[in-house]
Amino acid sequence: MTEQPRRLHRRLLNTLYQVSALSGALSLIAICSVITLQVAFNAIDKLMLALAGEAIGLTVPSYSEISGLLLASGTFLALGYTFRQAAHIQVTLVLQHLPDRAREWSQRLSFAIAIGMVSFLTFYMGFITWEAWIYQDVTPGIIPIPLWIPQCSMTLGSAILCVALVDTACTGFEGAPDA
Amino acid sequence: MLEMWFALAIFVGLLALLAMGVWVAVALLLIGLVSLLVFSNAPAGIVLATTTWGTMNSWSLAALPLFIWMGEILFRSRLSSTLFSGLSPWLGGLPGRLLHVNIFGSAVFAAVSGSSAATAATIGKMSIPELRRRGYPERLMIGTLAGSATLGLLIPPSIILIVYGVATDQSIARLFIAGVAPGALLVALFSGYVVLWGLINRTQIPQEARVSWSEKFTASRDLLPVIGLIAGVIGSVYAGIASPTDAAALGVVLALCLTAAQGDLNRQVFWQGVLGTIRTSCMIGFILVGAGFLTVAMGFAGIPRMIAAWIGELGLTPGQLLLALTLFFVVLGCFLDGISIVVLTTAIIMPMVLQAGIDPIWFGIYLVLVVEMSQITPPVGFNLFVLQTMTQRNILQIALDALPFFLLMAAAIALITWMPGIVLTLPNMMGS
Repeated sequence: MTEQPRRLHRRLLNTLYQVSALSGALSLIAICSVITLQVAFNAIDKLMLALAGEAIGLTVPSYSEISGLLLASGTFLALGYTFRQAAHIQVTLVLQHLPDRAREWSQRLSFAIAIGMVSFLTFYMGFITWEAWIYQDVTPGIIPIPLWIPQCSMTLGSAILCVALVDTACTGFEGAPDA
Repeated sequence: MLEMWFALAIFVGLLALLAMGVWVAVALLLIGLVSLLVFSNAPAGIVLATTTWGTMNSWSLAALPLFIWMGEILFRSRLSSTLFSGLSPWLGGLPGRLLHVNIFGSAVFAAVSGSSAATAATIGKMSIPELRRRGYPERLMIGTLAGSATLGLLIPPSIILIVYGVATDQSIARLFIAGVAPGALLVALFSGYVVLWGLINRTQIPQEARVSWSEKFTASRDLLPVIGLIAGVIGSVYAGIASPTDAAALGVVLALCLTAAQGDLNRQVFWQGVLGTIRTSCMIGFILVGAGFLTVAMGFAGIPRMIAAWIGELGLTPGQLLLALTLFFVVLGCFLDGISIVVLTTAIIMPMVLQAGIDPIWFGIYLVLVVEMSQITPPVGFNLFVLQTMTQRNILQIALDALPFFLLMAAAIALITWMPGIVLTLPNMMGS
C-alpha cells in the first residue's frame, strides 16, 4: 500500500469520528434547548394565569418524546467517538499483571468479542428500523414521529462503533483525533 | 438446584469476561445473549434491538447527560476558589478549623455535580495547597478530602442514583430526595469526627485569624449564586414543580449564565464541557443498554424467580441478607467501578432484595453508600487515584488516611439499617 491512500483513509476515519462527536454534541444541545423552552413556556403560562386569569396554553408539543428520541440517537451516534477517546470502561486490574504475550492475546480476544457483539447489535438495529419503516410505526403523542428516523441514527451509530473497533484493533489508538 | 448452578455460571462467566478486559457494556450484552439463547426460545436478536431502543428512548434518562453537563460547566468555572474563600471564614472557629472546608465544600460541590472524582479534584485543587501552606496535618487533610468527596455519589443530583433509578424502574425524583438526609448524616459524622480530633490534638491545628461578621458575608458573596442554583434545582424537584429532567435542563442554562456572568465562559471551555459530557454519558448509556438487556434476558430465563425462591427457602432475615450483600459488594468494589456494581446488582441481585421485602428506594441509598466506601478502598478506588495524582503520595498511605472515614460510612450504613426512616421519611412526605 502506498503512503497516499493510507493517509487518505486515516483522514476519512478521523472525519467520521468527528462527525460522530458533533452529532452527539448537537443532540445534547438540542435536548437542553427543547426542555428549557418547555420550562419557559410553562412559566409564562403560570404567570399569565396569575396576572390575566387566563393561560395561553403555550407548550412544546411532544417535548418529552422528542427528548427521548434525541437522547437515543445522540448517545448512539457518539459511541464511536467515545470509544476512540478510550472512555468506555474496562477492568484493567488483571490485565496489568499478565505477562505481555497473555495480555496481547487477551486484548485480541476482547476485540474479537466486541466486534462480533456490536455487529450483531447493528444488524438487528437495522432489522427493527426496517420493520418500523415497513409498518410505518410512529411515536404516541401530539406529533407522531416515524420511529425509523431515530432508529436509523442508532443503527448508524452502532455501525460507526463497529468501524472504530475494527480500526482500533488494527492500528491501535494512535492517530486518534484530539477532540 | 440445577438452575442455581446455571445462575452461578452466568455470574462467574461475567466476571471472567470483565477480568479479560472486555468492555463492561459488551460483557453484559454477551452474557445476556448467551443466557437468552441457552434458557429460552425467544428471538434473541430482536429482543436485543428492542430492549436497546427501549432503554435509550427515555425521558427520565435524559436527566443523565444534562446533570453531567451542569457538573462539567461548574467544574471548569472558578467555583473551587469561590468555595474555599467563601466557606473558610465561617468554619475557622470550629475545632479542627479549615479541615471542615473539605467536608462542607465537598457537600456543596456534590450538590452541583454527580461525580465523586470531580468533587475530589475540584475541592482539592484549592484546599490542598492552602491547607499545606498553613501547616494542617497532612493525614487529616487527605482523609477528609477522600471521605467527603464520595458525597458526590449520594447528594442529589447523583449520576449513580439516576443509573439505579433507570435500571430498576424507580422514581429518580424520590431517589434524589431520599439521598438528602443520609448525605447530611454523613456530613455530620465527618464533621463531628474532625471536631473531636481537633479537641484532642489542639496543638496540631494551626490558629486562624478572627473574622468579623461583615467580612464573613463579603467573603461568601460569590457563593450565594451557587447556593441559589442548588436550592432551585433540588427544591423544584422536591416541591414537584419540575421533574429531574426539567430541573437538569434549567440547571445547565443557569450554570452557563453564572459562568458567563463571572467571565469564565468562552468557546473553548464550552466545547470542552460538551465533549466531556458526551464521553461520560455515552459510556454510561452503553452500559445501561447492556444492563437493560441482561435484565430482560434474565427475566426470559426465569432466573429472578429461581433466586427469589431460593432466598425464600433459605429463610434469611433481611438483616442477614444485607450483611452478606455488604461483604459481597465490598469485595466486588475492590475491582469494579461504582456504576458497574450498581448495574450488576440490578440484573442479578434485585430479585433477592425484593423477595426479602427490602424497600427498593432504601436499597438504592444503601447501595450508593456501599459504593462510596468502595471509592476509597484499594486497589480500585477512584478517589484514591485522584488524590494520588494531586498529592504525589503513596496510594496505600492515602487509603490509610481515609480509613476513619471508611469506618464512619460503615456506621452510617448501620444507622440507616437500624432506622430506615432516615432514608424514607422525606420521599414519603413528597407529593406523588
